[in-house]
Amino acid sequence: MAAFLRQLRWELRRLWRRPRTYVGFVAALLFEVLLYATLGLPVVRAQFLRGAATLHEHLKLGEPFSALSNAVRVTGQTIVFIGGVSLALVAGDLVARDVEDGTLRMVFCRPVSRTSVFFQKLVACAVYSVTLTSFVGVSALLLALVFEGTSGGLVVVSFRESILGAHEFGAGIERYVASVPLLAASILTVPLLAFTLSCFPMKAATAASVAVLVLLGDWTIQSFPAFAPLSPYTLTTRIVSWRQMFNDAIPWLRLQRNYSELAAVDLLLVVVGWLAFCRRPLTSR
Amino acid sequence: MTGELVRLNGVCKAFRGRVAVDDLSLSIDHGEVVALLGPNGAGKTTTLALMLGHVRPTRGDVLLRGVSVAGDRRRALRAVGVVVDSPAFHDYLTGWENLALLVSYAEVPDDAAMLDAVRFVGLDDRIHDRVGTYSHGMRQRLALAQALVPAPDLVLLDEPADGLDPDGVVTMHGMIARLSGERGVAVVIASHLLSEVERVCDRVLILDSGRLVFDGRWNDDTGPERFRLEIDDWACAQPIVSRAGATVGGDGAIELAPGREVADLVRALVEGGVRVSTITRIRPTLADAYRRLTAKPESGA
Repeated sequence: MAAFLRQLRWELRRLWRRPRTYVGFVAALLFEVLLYATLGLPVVRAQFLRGAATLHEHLKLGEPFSALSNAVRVTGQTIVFIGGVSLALVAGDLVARDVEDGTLRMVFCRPVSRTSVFFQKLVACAVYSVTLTSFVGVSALLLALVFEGTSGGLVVVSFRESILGAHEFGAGIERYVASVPLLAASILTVPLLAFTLSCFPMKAATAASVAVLVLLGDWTIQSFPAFAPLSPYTLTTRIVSWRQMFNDAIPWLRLQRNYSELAAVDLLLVVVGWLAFCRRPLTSR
Repeated sequence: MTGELVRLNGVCKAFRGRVAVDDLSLSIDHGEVVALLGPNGAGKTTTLALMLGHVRPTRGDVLLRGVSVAGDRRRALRAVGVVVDSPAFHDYLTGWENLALLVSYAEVPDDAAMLDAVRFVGLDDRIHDRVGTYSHGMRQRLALAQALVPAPDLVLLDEPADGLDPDGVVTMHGMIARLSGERGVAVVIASHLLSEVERVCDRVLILDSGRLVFDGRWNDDTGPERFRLEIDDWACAQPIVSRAGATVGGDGAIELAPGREVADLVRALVEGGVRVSTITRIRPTLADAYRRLTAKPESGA
């Protein structure tokens, strides 16, 4: 165990020394700033209010624009578009890039088992995923406070997801903070998919691309009205479960079911990845 | 230290029915510098992979210090250093960090042992620079440094001088000689550079189609004696050379039949009226021996 932890420490150190690791953080921050700036444009606000003002007034939900409400919108968009791509890129690199570069061959000249190396890389993948997701959650909130101030509460309305939630600022902050770990847990499936694919004999870019394509395809089926009958079977339906934390009455049973199903998918990916990693050739040529 | 370090007992390895190594038995002692030669596909890489436990033998066993690699890889490889062909490092880490990273897979990185290895390969002044700034020769030296931590008694080198400039080649050969001479480390070199093998290796193993076709000092098996004669009339000399049981090779060298002396041939030439101005004995090279041992019989018409 001591040897595993020692090697894991170096795996993490290596991960955080690589410039590419930070691309996701920078891209997420820029994307969030862009979204907040766009949400602040009068023409966008006017358009948004035309659709939402009546609803908000009718349901007595209060001001549709607030720091917390915007933070939830921006976090959701950022995690799907930037987070998904960045997580897939870095996770896909963890095995396939090392094989392409030839560094994994050097590692296996040492008396270390493939299983041990696989789980070190898996943990590094999970740590990166949780860190980036937490960063997106925290930075979206901080930027929201900068752009919108502290006035207003947290309002989330989504008929498709059966979410109706309106909270005062204090309670809203609590809900938001509680949702971030759930967001991290749910999005983990995306980097795990890229990581598992990268354990097969394929290029890192291919593994990342396939994972992103699966995510976008799944997201399209989940969100496009014509595919509504298929929506319950998609991963995205489960991945967006973190938003249920904003419901007035949190549907714990539904959350439990969705996260159990995601955990089962994650476990399956880990087993498949491990089997592939233990059998894949280490030469890139 | 003396005694047997590596032993392969009747090792066979087949990949999907294709035999890569066939009934290979050999042993390597402490401090020996051994070359592993053979044409492409002869089984050199598979033999190294078997020694490292990357592949399991279909039959037979590989023992390092008496420990079966297939049975207990961790213990068997504890004191084995490896330099793979075209060694790769993480460019964004320093040489020192790369070294510590690789060492950490076997043991707790020990600064003193790492520094000793770095000094041995002469990389101490650049070890804290990023590897991305290293030349090919420096990467090769860093690869050797990581193979020397922890102090190994066996180092496997796959094409160690590949891509090095002439100075780099000399430096690498010097380090291999010092490893064996000063530290008593056994070195196994897989190489296509026969001149390199001639210079640094005590012993040569030649593989062909997965079988060991030669094991010994390369100049133990030099074949027939060869000479180069400078004569004034080749047309007149040709029948005399044939009568003396010698043959003229494509390179103009005269190859004597077993048991014949060059003095007898020269005497016959002189008596036949041919003027012989110089006689040069052609030193046999490893390349000659290698070509002879791995030559494929010509297919019939």
